[in-house]
Formats: sequence, C-alpha cells, structure tokens
Amino acid sequence: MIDKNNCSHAKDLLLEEIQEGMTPAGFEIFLEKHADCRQELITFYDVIKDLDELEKVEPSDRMDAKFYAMLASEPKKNLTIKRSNNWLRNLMVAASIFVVGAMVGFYVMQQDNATPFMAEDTTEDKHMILASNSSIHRLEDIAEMGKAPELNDKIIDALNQALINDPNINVRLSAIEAMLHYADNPKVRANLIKAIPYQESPIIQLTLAEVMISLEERNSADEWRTLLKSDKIEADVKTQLEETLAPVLKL
Amino acid sequence: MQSDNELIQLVQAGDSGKVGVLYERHKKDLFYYFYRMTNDKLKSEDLVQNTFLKVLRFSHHFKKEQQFNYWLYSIGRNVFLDTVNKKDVLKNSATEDALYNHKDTESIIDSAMEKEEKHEMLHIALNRLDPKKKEAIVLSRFQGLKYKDIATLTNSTETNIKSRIRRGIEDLKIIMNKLELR
Repeated sequence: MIDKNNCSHAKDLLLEEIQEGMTPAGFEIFLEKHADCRQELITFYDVIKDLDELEKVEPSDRMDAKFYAMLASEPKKNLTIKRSNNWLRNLMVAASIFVVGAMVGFYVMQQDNATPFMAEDTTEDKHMILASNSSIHRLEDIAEMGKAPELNDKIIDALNQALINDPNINVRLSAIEAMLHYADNPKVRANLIKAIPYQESPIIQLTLAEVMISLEERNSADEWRTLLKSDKIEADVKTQLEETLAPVLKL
Repeated sequence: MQSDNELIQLVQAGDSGKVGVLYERHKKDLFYYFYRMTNDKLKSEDLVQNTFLKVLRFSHHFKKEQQFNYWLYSIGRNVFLDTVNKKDVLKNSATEDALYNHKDTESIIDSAMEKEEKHEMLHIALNRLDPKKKEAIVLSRFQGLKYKDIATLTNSTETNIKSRIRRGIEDLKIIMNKLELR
C-alpha cells in the first residue's frame, strides 16, 4: 500500500524540480525514483500541465485608454511654474507635459532595442554645459536647475542648449519641463520659441506645440510655419500639429 | 534597453512618463494575475490601472536593492485585497462544502460538460479553490514567481507555499472529478 505522506513528500519534491525547469525526460527519471507514487505523480503532473495550458484572457483596449487618461490627470510631481499668477495656465501646461511625457515612455521603449537616436547621437555638443555622458546624470542636473532658487543666465543657456542639442529625448523633454518653471522669464520663453525649428522628434514637436498653446504664445507662429514647411516633420505629425496650433497659426 | 529598476528610479527622479514604459512591459502579466484571482475582466483592468497609479504615487518607497517585479506584485496584491472583502478572501479558508459543492451557474457547467473541455472544467475548478491555495498556484504557475518570493509576498513560509500548491493541485483534481461525475 502506498504511504500517502510519502507521496506528499514526492509531490513537494516534484514541485521543486518543476520550478527549476524539469524536462519531460527529467519527469520520467523522477518517476523511476519514486515508483511507489508513480500513478499519483502522473495525475499530479497532468493537472500542472493543464494549468500551464489554460488559455489566457487578454485585456481590452479600454485598459490602455483608461491608464493613459489616468496618467494625464495625475498632477505632475514637483512641477510648478515660478513667478506666475495664472494657476489655470500652469495647470494646463503641467497637464500637457505630463501627457506627452507618458507617451514618450512607450515611444522610447519601442526605440530602445534599435540603438535609439542614432542620427542624433552624432550631434556635436561642444556648447553643452550639461557635459555628462550619462543621460541619467543630465536628467538629474536639469531637475536641479528646475529647482534652483534663482534663475541666472547660466541656467537659461544650459537648458536652452539641452533642448536644442541633447541627443536624448527624455533630456530634451525634461529641459522643456524645467524651462516651464521659468516660463514668465522673457528669455526663457524666447528660447522655447527659437528651439522649435530645430526639433526633429515628433514627441518634442508635439510637446512644444502643447506648451505654446498653454502659454498662449502667439509669437511662435513664424517658427511653426518654418518647421511645418521643412522636411523635419512627418506627415501625420504635421496634420496633428496643424490642428493643435490652429489658434496660433490663424493669427 | 533600460531595466525596470533603472526606469523606476527615473520615475523617482520626476520622469513620470517612464511609468508608461513600465506599464507597457508589465500590464499583461499583471492583468493575467488579477484575472485569475477575480475571474472578472473589467475588474482586472481596473486593478491594473490602480496598481500603476500607486506605482506612480509611491515610487519614492521603492528601494534600489529591490526587484521591481516583486515590488509591483506586492503593490498589486494589496490593491487586490483592498478591493475585495478581506473576510472572505485570503483570511478565512473556504469550507470543504463550499469547495466541492459550490453552486456554479448551471449553464456554465453544462456548457463545459457538453464541450468536454478539460480546460473549461479546470477553469471552473480553479475558481472554486480555497483562495490561499489559488493565490499560491496563480503566483507560481501563471506569474512564474519563486516559492521563496511568494512566501515573502504573502507573509508565509516556503514550506507552507509548497504545501498550499500541492494541496491546491490535489483539490483541483478532486473538484474536476466531481464535476465530471455530474
């Protein structure tokens, strides 16, 4: 007669072996070692195999839509625009950056495997004040600049150079975000506008469009027209930009 | 390609958009986990969203030496427990009567019987299983977590987890046999 407790022990051992990646051949060897529990182990193993073959139910598109809507509605951490009394405008700008920031996450993930930003990696960055080779360090530097107690020309120039020259999209997005902290400074606003024609990334282009609308920056019309006429813009992005920028371009 | 741990550290640094990358990487596995636990697609989708909302809001709690995947499941599990009646789920074990004489919708069982679909029967059996055993099986077989990690996640021991899985699989077989005899 089979000792049930012994078979329990054999099943526990089998679970350990399965976790370590036991093959069907390995299972046969295991059965030989535990011949007294052979039938119980086969039944046990069959249930496990059936479990592994259970069909997976897939989530619907609704899940993505709800997630990104949630992300867009989440207040952006540490994002406040200094020296501005227009809280509604600040909120709109924060929300716009946040939405595109979430979008860029997926975009960058898609690009990561294929040597991202290959063309832009060759950009000369001799003017960069943010000189670290690590994009993480540059992101940290920019975050610090965004929190600086006092804005000075060095910070303005560093953020501007990052926005124009940095090969990493997230660094450029972070530069925009940091510049928004100082959006009431005329030099910073001018730099945001001047950077428009330099941008080749759709994400950055769309972000800057959202920013310009949120800032109600009507002086950017010429820069947008220059960009829209150039070959730096993809057809579907162009359509989207024209829709977004309608209030600016119709002036 | 940036690792999960690198990404969550960027989120901590304020790059909230990186949560989108983590979501894209883990949304399906997390959804499968919730679906196995709730058997409710819409609820599972909401649970995934709520989990990532907590990842975003509490990213500062993540420690560099942690594994992101494990941290994510610990948040997900808490989100799940918050939405269900804790008295019924994972606290009190189901009674034998509830396990083996559960009143499923007749049409579901009849349909499965007619089709002689073993997998459908297994699906029904899984949903009748004691919640603790079910959770151990789901985390182990479907989510690929190690017994050690499941033990930490559920405040249990590795021995207990193995025992739960073994007894859970034995119960599944018993429930399926009962269903087949109907």
